[in-house]
Amino acid sequence: MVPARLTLVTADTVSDEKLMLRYRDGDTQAFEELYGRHRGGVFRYVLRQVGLRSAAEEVFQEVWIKLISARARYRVEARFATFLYHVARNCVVDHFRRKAPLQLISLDDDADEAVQVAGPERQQPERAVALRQQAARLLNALALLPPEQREAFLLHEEGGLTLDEIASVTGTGRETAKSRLRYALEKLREGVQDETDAA
Amino acid sequence: MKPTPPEDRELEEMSAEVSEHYRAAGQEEPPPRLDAAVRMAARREVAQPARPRRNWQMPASIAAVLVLGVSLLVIVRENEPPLPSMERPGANEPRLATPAPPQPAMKPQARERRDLQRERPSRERSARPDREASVADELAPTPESARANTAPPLPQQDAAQAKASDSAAVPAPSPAAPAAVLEQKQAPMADSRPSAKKKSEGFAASGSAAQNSPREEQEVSAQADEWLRRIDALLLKGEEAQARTQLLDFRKQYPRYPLSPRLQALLPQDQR
Repeated sequence: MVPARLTLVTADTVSDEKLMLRYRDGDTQAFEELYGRHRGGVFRYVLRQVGLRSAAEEVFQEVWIKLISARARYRVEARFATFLYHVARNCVVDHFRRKAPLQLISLDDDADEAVQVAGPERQQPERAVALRQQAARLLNALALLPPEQREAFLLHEEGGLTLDEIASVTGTGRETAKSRLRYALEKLREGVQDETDAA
Repeated sequence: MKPTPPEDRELEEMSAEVSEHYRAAGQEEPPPRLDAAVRMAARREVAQPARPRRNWQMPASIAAVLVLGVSLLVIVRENEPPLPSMERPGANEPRLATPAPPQPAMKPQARERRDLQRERPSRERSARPDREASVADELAPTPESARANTAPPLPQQDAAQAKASDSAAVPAPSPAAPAAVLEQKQAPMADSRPSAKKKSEGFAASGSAAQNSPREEQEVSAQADEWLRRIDALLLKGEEAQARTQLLDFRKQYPRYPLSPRLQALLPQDQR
């Protein structure tokens, strides 16, 4: 169950863990590569959780600063993605503790702070509009999910974490993580389909 | 390879379907300025010299353990009862072995207990050789006391005679004299007329004298001196026989009291 988005690690590709170990030993180039691999996923994970872009940028930076600060103590005890999203989750939790509870993602085009769904431009305008609307509905459904289910989905989708890893990061059992992911996927699928059927 | 359970397979299908829509929804990326800030932070972290490690925990814990250990040691040593082998020899022994400080007169029961301890069989001492050896050294009699202990008792007849003559001629010395004082006057024999100091030393040398107060010793000494003066007077009058009788009586009551050479000449050799 590996998301298509996840970078495939081949024999020629240096693993995340090795890159992090190299960065620990002072290789900044290794960090560049590591950052390039995970910057998008972490940013979207934070953005979907936090809602506001400005807040997401703040939390995103905090995640990487914490990772950089912890480089000297880094030990390979789990997959690097698990470690990274663990840090990201803690930062999100800290953010909500510091500030107001979850702010839902606004789909209002007038809202400057709202997440701008940057769908790929298509050659066919109608098709592009349809996809954009579908994506907006998905994101709307995602925002309406219970936080635990949304978190499970994002860890799976953006971080490429397995059920066991999701359970580890969230501090739950595997079956709980699985149940949350299942409910999240069902609700997202229903959200997209209902709107499509209605259209 | 572990086969995927049907539930997981179903979950994968659902995930693939939703994932396609999700990827189409957007590929937001962090802004370039944020990328630059993170990369700069990463380089700065590597470039800056290694910060001194927070290695205060180890010294602090060692110091805490040392303080606790020393404190415990001190407390335990202060509260620890002394071991029998560590005791000062004779610290708990009867006071008869310590001659110096004058103390109140012993009660008869205490005296009996002391005598029993003095006559403790040697086999009992050998049972605790380490402690008893030192105590035995202190209990070892001085030459004078040894001589006194081995001195033969007065013949019964002489004693009766002396008592009779004493009651007839000379007033008896204070019968109220403390029994302990009367019983043991283990003083060294003096060659000349004893001084007060020598008498005091003579009293102090004896076990029971050590138990008496200085006042009692003075009283006894005064009584004895008074008696001796009367005996001297009898001698001067030429009543040598009566003087000898009185002196025998005196010696009976004050077996160790130092006598002048002239009075010693009146006594048998073993009673001088």
